[in-house]
Amino acid sequence: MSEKRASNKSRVLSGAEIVWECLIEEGVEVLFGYPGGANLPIYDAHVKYSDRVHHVLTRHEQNAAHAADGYARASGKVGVALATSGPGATNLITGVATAMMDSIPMVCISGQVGRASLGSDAFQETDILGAMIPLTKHSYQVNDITKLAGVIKDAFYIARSGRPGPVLVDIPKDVQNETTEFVYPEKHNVLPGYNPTVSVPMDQLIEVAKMIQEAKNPVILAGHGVLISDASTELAALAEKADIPVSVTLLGIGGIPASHPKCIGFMGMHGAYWANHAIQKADLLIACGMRFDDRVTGKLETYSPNSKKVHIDIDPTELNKNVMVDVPIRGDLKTVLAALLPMVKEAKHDAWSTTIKEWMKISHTREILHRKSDKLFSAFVIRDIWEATKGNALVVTDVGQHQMTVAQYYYQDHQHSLLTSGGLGTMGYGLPAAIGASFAGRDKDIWLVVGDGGIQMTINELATAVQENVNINIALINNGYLGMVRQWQEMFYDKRFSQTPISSPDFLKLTEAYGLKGYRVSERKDVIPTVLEAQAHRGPTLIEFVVEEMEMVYPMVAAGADLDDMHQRPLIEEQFSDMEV
Amino acid sequence: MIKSEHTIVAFVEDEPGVLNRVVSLLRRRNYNIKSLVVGATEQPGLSRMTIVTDESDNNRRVNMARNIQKLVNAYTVEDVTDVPAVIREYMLAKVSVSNGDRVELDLLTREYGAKVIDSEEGAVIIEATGYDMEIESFIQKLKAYDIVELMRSGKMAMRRGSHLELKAKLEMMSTDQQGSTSQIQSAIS
Repeated sequence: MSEKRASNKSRVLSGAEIVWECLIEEGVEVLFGYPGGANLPIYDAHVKYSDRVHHVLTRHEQNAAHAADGYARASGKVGVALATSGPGATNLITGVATAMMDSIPMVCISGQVGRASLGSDAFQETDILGAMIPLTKHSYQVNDITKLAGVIKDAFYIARSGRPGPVLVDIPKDVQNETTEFVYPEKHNVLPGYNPTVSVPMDQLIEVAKMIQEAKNPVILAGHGVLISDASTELAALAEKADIPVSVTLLGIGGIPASHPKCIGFMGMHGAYWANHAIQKADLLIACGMRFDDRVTGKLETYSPNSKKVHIDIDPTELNKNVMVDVPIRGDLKTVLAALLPMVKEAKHDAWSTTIKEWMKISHTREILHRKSDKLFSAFVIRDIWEATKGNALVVTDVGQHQMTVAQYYYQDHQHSLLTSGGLGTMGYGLPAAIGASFAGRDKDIWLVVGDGGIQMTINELATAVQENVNINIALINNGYLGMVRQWQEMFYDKRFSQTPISSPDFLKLTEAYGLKGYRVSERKDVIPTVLEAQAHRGPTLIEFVVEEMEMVYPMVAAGADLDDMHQRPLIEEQFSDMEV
Repeated sequence: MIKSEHTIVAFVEDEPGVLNRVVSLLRRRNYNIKSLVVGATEQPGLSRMTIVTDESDNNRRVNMARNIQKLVNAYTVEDVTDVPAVIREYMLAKVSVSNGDRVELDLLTREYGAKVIDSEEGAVIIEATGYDMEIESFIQKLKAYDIVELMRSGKMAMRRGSHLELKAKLEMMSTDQQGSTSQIQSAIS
């Protein structure tokens, strides 16, 4: 424990008060939680601090964690969730696992039974520390009140430094009630083995610069690390200087503007046809802050078979984990790219750009947006929301078909403006994350795009949205199915739609019951006017878009297939043979 | 068989739950632990683990050490698989023996540099230390008698030579932790 005094404000405080003091020291202005037996002292102390830290009462602890996650993604700050022991703490788990997979900085505080009862299977006791070890970046149980402030300091430092992630702080109830002199340490006290900064390996960069110079068909793969490391400027500069097309992962969307001439869009299972083909035919891949997830690579054995590969990531355990690379570089992406840039010679790859354009043309012949149809396809809805919001919305998604449709058709030019559960694919994430994001103070309209399945997983949060009167607009894409699973059943399970048809309540009545503004749209002509009307309304709104039931997300790479072995949208007669078009 | 073993030495914080974190990590990442030994070191607050797995893939070997290093409770990790190192284990065996066989058993024990440390009527307890082939060979020989109980400690590893860099590194880290000259900065603030 550092003995340095933070300031002259040392006072004797309870553990519960210390929690709030520490949160204030860390700049926390809002947190999301749910009270219960084992965190009552913390909630009681909040009465004194409520003017400085706003508490949002979610309707379930899972959603407190998702809201903290959404707040963190939208604000760049550490999100905070607070739960009681036992079921409260276990309810956090899905939210924590979601944040861990997507490298989101978060601190979760859980109450715990008193120290004397630990290990006795006391009422609402659960081994949350044990359960959270594999799901968090780090976890603490504070059994000594004199260590509480230091642990919270370290928790915030660990959550936000290096590769960010969630940290659990479990506090027994009697520790919350004990008192001690409060001193907030000036400096964290994390072991020096935890070293998130590394020097730039110049010899490796010389090699990379040479590889770039020799490449004829290079591709940059831009992941979430571009946003986390704030490396967008350096990335775009590299792409421009050496004329390298950039493809983005789901979480990398916005790392380079979609309208940037070198951006070739989204890669992977539902990625752009031309992006996947470019990756497969590339002779050099420069992977920046991404982790070669199976949804991005397709079959590993045939992944980009003729390319040399460079992988830059702050987390050394990601290097050579899934894809073996020629030059693995551990480092902060922004620093590495800034150092690399002057070594790279200007280049032009016109033939390569032409080849990629040819792939684009092939794909455009099957583009659903080019269809004239009276039907309401979800792609039309997303495209029109993009137009109505002028591409400037902060978009939050849930998980499923609509999520991929947003990735494809909400052409995102801005950083930190698509919030989505990428790694864990957590249905139910969207609504609480959008509520969390609304507290980030971004001057943007918030649009949540969510399916009828996902919203019903966390629909209780409509009450939170109304209680807090948050400015979020919900675009509910209702096709009456768990659409993505239905799509797999159609393609790979011989159209046996086992348990994927799903009924919903009358959403207009439901919005009325919850007290938010509701709309229903089933024709394309009404999409833009309704979106504009909802957006002009202060407070939460929900538009139910009643869309085509059997719509599929194309293109698609089947799980385990080669990345360029893509199911394309069938030509019109094939696809809608059983429908009139 | 020896070749397929992968041995690392991890220096970790001597705190409750750290072993849990290491083992949980290895399970989650699908490594199969052949032996794991934890104990105190010359420095207070510092535990030393020797972990042996059957991992044969080189990239996964490298990543295992990196994963352990990534734990917040880890000081440093050394891979001793391909460097000169002393790797030893300890064995205890209880052997049921008749008076007639005792002389021969004593000779065998001496041959392996082992020791009879307890002798009750009808049974002796023998302790032995050595590298795994030695212990293996000794056990094979003991099978000529009636082995009542046997246990092996798992392996402990230490690099040969003075290897002063390690000492320097660990000392620097523990001074660092006092908060004097930390080079650690937040990469992202």
